[in-house]
Amino acid sequence: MMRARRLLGLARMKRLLTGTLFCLAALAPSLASAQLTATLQDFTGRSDIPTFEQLGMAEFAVTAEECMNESLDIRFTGIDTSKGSLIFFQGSNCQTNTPARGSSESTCIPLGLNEPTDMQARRDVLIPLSSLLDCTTMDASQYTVFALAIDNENDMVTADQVFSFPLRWDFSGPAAVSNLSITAGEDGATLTWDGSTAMLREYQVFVDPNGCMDGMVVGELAGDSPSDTFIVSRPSNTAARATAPFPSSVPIGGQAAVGIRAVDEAGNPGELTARCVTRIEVTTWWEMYCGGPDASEACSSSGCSVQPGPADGPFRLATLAALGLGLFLTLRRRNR
Amino acid sequence: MKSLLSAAAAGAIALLAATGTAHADPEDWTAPSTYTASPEHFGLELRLGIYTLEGLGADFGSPQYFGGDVGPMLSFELHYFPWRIPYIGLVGAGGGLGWSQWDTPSPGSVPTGGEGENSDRNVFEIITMRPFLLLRFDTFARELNFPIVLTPKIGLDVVYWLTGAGSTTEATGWSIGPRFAGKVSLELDFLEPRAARQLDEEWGINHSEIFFELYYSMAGDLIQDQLPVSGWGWAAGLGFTF
Repeated sequence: MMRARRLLGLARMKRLLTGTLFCLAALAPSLASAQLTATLQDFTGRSDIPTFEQLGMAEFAVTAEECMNESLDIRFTGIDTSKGSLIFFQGSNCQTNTPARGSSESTCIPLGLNEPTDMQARRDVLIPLSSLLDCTTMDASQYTVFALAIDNENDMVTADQVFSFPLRWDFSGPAAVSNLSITAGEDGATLTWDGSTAMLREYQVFVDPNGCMDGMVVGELAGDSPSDTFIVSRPSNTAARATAPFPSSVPIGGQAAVGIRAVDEAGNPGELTARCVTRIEVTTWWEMYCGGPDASEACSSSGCSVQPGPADGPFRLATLAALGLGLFLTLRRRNR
Repeated sequence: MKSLLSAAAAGAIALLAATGTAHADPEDWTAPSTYTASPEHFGLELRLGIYTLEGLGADFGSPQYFGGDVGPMLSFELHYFPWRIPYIGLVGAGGGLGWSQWDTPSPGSVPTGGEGENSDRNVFEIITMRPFLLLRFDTFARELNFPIVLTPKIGLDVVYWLTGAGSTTEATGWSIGPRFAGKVSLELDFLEPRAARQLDEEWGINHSEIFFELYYSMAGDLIQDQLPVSGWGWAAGLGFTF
């Protein structure tokens, strides 16, 4: 009898322990809630999407026009499904004061956005730039944006349901190109400069045939905002060399203003660098030789014509050297 | 008595043993290895020098064009010596490749105005390929231990030339003509004979040397429709025979 009771007790104990383990296993996911995080998905109006996937890692170049019309598409993940909505603030310490929708905290300004999460752990939110920025003053200072997943009933927020990221907006254009060298020729000028590491959309090369007077740049290229009609080429953002053809109105010995500026990825133009360049008559050695009294018959057999193509002597030399080395190794092997 | 005999026997054995170890076996002698130079059939030259084009007239070397540029001429040569004439030297054939480029920033005019302004570069470039015969006269070095080697060379200069301005090529062509050269070499073996021997034993390099060569090329001079890229040149560098 005693033994039967003991066995019954053990069986009950076993059932109790198993039940407890099942309950803990079932509760585990909800107890270990995920951390709220966010990534930038899109910058509307930009064909080239973000070079900044990590929010807060870079300065966002933006134009005044974009500020009025465009938005950031931010994906939030790790939202606690028990939370009702995402609310946004900018300022400081917004995570500590359990901010209600109408926070009175002076350092914490509500952005006026309230996104219901619909019990989803992931949510894409379109935040207009105009809600993040004062587009009239175009304030370029840095501030921090806070996103909080809150409980609709009591506005409570937990530490792991807060995500913040710093934002710095840049309305100014990039710096002037550095180490600019302008090489004049007969047909045009060649510009070379140090490539930039900044995020650029392109460079713009300008030529103004009437932009020089007494060796000084005058007219629109002397200012900061020349008209687009003077743009002769738009080298890519990785370029460090461009050509600017002289207009036919510039005679040999005459001058034209040639300028270049960088444009940031938002479209803000940078500082323009312009110089007066003299169109010169280039008499190459070959032209001089073939036009002279000692010209060889090679001038006519070679045609004296311009054949486009880069000078690739070192490459040819390397090929010939490889052939020579191969021949040598073959000879040496046979000799052995 | 017995113990006395035993002691005498032991003493005799010990004496025999001692005599055996002290005596050298004449059959057990190994001759030290003697150095024999490895076969000498090849030569390699790494060269740096200047080639002065004379056939293209005085304007080529004028300050207006390429006068401010010395080239230089970078080249290398490989030699093959199938025969050795006793007391004279090695006879063989060789081939070489060279490259030189001259350029000028202001072809034919001086730019004016504008800070940082200059003009398109004008370029003249040659690639030379040359097969030749040579005699490596090393009697002084081999017979008299005086480390000088004289090498006359005669061959053909095949020159590919190119000229252009900026990124465009104006004209290209080939010029061929005889080429004569004389080389004086100083073998470096005397500096470290042991190291030189080791280099031969381990790598098969018989001799290393520094040299100076003068040459004259008549490329383009003899064939009428070729560009006369003839001229004098010199080259110095490092050579090896192996």
